[in-house]
Amino acid sequence: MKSNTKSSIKSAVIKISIAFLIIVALLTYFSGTIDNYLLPHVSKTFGGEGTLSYSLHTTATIDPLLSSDGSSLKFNFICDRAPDSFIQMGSLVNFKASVEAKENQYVYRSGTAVVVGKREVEEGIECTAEIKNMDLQDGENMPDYGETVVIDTVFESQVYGHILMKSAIQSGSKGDYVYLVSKDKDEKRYVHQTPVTIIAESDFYVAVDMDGDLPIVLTSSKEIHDGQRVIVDD
Amino acid sequence: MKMKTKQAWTGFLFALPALIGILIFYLIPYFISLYYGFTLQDQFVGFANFAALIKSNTFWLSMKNTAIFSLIAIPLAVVIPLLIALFLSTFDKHTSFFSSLFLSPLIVPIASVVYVWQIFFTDYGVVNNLLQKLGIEPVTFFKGPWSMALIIIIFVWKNCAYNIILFSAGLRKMPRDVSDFARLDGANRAQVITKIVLPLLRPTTFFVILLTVISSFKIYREVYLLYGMYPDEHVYMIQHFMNNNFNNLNYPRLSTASILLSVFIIAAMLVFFMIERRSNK
Amino acid sequence: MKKRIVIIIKYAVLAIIAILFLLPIIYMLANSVMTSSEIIKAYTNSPEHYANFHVIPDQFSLEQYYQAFLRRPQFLKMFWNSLLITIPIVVIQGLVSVFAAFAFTKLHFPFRDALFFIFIILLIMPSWVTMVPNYMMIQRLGLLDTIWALILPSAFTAFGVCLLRQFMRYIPDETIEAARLDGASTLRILFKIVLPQVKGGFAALMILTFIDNWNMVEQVIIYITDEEKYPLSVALSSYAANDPGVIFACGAIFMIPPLLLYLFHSKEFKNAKY
Repeated sequence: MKSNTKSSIKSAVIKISIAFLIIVALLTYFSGTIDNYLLPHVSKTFGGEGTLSYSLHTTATIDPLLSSDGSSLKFNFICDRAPDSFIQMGSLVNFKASVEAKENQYVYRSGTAVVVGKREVEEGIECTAEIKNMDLQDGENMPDYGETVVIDTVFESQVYGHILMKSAIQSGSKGDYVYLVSKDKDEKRYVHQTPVTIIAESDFYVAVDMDGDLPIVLTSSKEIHDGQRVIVDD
Repeated sequence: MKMKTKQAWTGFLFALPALIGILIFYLIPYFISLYYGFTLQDQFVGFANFAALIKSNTFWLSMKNTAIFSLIAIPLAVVIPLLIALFLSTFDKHTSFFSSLFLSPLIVPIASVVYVWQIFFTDYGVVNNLLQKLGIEPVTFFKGPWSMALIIIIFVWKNCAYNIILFSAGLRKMPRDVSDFARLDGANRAQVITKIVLPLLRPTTFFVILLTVISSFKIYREVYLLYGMYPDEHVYMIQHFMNNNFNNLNYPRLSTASILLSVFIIAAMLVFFMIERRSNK
Repeated sequence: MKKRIVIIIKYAVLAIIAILFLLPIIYMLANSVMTSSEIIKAYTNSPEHYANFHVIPDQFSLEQYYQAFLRRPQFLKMFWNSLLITIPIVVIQGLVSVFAAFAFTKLHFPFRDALFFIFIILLIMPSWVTMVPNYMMIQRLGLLDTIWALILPSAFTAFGVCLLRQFMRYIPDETIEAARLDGASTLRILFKIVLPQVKGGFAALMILTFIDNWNMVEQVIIYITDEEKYPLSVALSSYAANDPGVIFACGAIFMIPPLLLYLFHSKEFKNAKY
């Protein structure tokens, strides 16, 4: 009886070993096929030079207290998400003043104001902009005190070396990183983690500080990790 | 007579494969390394290479660390299994299951558990978490003198297993009635162990010490997997010294160290066997 | 009553010892069924966040095993490297040692004891001594950077001969003499009479040699430069740094071959008469 259980353990171990080795052998042998089937497809991008822009839609009221002398009008507006560095003294702000109905047509009195001051408040950055007489494009009249202007403008950043879509940036325990796509000698593509530092960001794009000019993974069909083989959709 | 010579031939033939292997990979190249040990750029230099080796600080550092490690870890890895085996022998049954559990540290590959050790013993790891909760200052196991402690813990953990099996087998072989008689004579348990069991266990103990010494030479594996090629100076072992010299293929230095260490180990082994022989008398 | 309490305490102590021995292994196995993100989250630690003892998975998942088996061809390749190195060593060592140990124990030939003394000396020689001669011969044979550099020196160690001799010593000479008088050949005596009696020793040799070489590190990093040829015993630790999310499953898979071999031989191994 005892030797019986003993030999049954032995034969079970042999069977398990053989099954295990066969499975591992098959998986190794077909690893190329499995890999191609399961490999993530990625789309790539090149992080080129460029500026980041931040568009702002808000309203403001011409403030009589700010506009002490008669030659210019000033208004305050809150910039709620744009980074501080985007709004410089002298940045231009497009605005439209109230509409006038003329022969069933709406005419905007629009123009460009210049940022002359900014300070941080709870909601974001409060900017002061100044409209000078000559800045007005169409309408003849300057907006009045207390009149509401619609601000519809885009702030541009300085020129950065690498601008990327936000989806290319991954965050990990060791900070932010991107995946670069490199080729090995067999023309197989692999991804490699490269750490990046985010300098500035807008709604959809970020400016990063990074080394290398290899293509960067923008999106991936599956989760990828460092050293992973991928298929690049061109 | 003819029978005798025939047996001699078969005996020699049976031993031949092992002898050839040993000859090719160990003995012949050992004599080649003797040549390198006494020459420098094909010039006979006597003991100059040995003098240079003895002056090397890293060599002595590695010797010192290996000695500290051996002197602490080997006794621990012999005494703890002995105590556990004595403890196991007090059970009447069911210990077979436990002794196979104790074997698992031996079976699990080092590389598999190395990451667990890292998580347990890193600066902000599980062990320091526990220490901090107990109000004890956290310990850096991967730097400074405590790294040696970590290596010793891992060594004892790994090598207890097989030694328990060996001691248990030795205890099982012991005639039970010997200690029973002694107990009838009024000896208490401690006396039975120190006066009767331990002396009878002496051959097993020597075998265990021998095996533990052999496995203590392999501690480099754990050190390499935990600390890499260039570890903290407290766990810089002789194997590190050799490997770093392999990297720049310093044959005279390697050969010299190999010869010196082999002489040292043969001397130590002779002392060990002399003690064994004397204690058997 | 008092006796029963003593027994309970004894079993409790036994359980504590068993847990201490098993803890790292339980920990590894428990962590191998966690998701990769759970592991990475649990072990990214800093002075503010110490790693917690984490054995119960938040979420049971075979993701790591899936990743290891299907998504890491490199891991599987290195697993085979390990097998391709270890199995030849065990086979050669087993065959050579059985014959040599028998010759050194039970056959008489000139210089037998002197020759065996060489084996005893070699037995205790650490790798830091033997690797220098090994390297010189491997280099002269042109075997550097091939798996033979790892297999051949490790296959011809003195360990097998010395271990098996330790077991064969207990076989009485009379048994062998009797068989010889019956006309049995020496080979027949070895395989029909001696080997069945040293089953335990042979099992111990198989298991110990396999485990020892399954863990091979120092030879690999010196003799092999091509990392494609690395066995897992070395490669797994570099995995840990780059790819911590799957390391526990990889470790668990790496454990399977020695475990199977041990299970196969466990009875003989434990009951061997040392």
